[in-house]
Amino acid sequence: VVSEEQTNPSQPVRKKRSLIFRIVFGQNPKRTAVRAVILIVTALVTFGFVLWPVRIVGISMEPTYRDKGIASFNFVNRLAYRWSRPKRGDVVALRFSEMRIRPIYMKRIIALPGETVDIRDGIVFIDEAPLDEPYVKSRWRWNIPPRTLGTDEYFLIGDNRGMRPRDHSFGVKTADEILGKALW
Amino acid sequence: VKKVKIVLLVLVLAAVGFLMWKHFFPNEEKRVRKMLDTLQKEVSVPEKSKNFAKLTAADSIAGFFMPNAEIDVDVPDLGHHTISGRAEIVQIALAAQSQLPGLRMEFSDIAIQIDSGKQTAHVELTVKVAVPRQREMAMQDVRFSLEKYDGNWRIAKAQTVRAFK
Repeated sequence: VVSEEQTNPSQPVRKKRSLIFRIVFGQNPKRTAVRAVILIVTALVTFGFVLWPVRIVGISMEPTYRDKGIASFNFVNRLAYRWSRPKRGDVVALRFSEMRIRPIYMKRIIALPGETVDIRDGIVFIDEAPLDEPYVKSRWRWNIPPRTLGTDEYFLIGDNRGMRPRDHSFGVKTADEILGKALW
Repeated sequence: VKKVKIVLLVLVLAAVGFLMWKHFFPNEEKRVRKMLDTLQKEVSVPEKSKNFAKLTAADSIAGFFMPNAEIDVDVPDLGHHTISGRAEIVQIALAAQSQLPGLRMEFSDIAIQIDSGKQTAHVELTVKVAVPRQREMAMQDVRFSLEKYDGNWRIAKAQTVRAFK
C-alpha cells in the first residue's frame, strides 16, 4: 500500500490520528472547534432568547396538552408578539407576576382588551355572544360573572373545563405579562 | 520566575480573601436566601419525633417570624384563614407536626427584592408540600414581606398569591 505522503512529497507530513480521535474531533480539529463554537452560540441564542423550552405540568390544558412527564415539552416563541398583538385562541406562556417569571403558565386567550367576558353554565360569552371553542372537550357548569377588560388586559383560561373552577387557575393578565406564544 | 510566583501568590491570596469576605459578610439577598433555606428545613416534619422535639421545632419555626407577624392563607380547599403572632404560629406548627408526620416542604422559584434602605424586603416563591401516602405534591405560591429584626431577616407578613387577577 502506498501512502499519500509517499506519492506527494510536497505535502507536509501529517501525523495519523487514531480512529477515536477522528470520531470525536474530526479530520480537522480546528474546523471542528469552530463548528462547535458556532453550534453552542446558536443554541444559546435560540433557546435563551427566541424559543424557550418549557415542560407542561398539570391537567389544566387538557386535551390540547397532556402532562406525560418528560415527553410533554413545548417551546415558547418569544418573538411572536414583537410585531403583532396576541389574538383570541392563541395559547400563550405567562410570567407568574411582576416579581418573577417562574412558574410559567400556559393558557389560552379567550377575551381581548376592552371586551366583556363571562361564563354561564360552562359557555363563554364575549360581549354577550357565545364563543365557539372547539378545543374544549368537557365542560363543568362554570359560572363566572361579567368582567370588562382594560385597554391592556387579556382574559386567559385553560382548555380543561371539566374540572372545578376553584382548582383551575385563570383570569386576567396584562400584555407585558405574556412571554410568548406556544410553538405547537 | 520569582516575580511570577509572587504575582500568582498575591492573586491567590486576593481570591481567597474575596471568597472569605463573601462568606463572612454575605449580601442581603444571600442572607434572605439562607434564612429561607433554614426555614424550609425546619418546617419539614420528621416521621417520628418526641413531644419535646416537636415543641422545640415549633418554637424554632415561630422564631423566623416577627412577634406581630401575620399569615394570610386563602387556598381553595382550606378557605381563608389568618394567623397572627408567634403564639398562634407555634400552635399551628405543633398541630402540623402531630397530624402530618413526614411532611416535607420545599421552596422553589424564589424571587427576592431588597428595598433601598435594606431594612425591608419582599420574597415570592412556590411552596411544594409533600405528605406521605399522598401521590401528588401540593403547590402554592406565597409572598413574604420581610423586616430586619435584631439584625436578622424575619417574616412580617406571609400571604398566598395567585398568578391571575
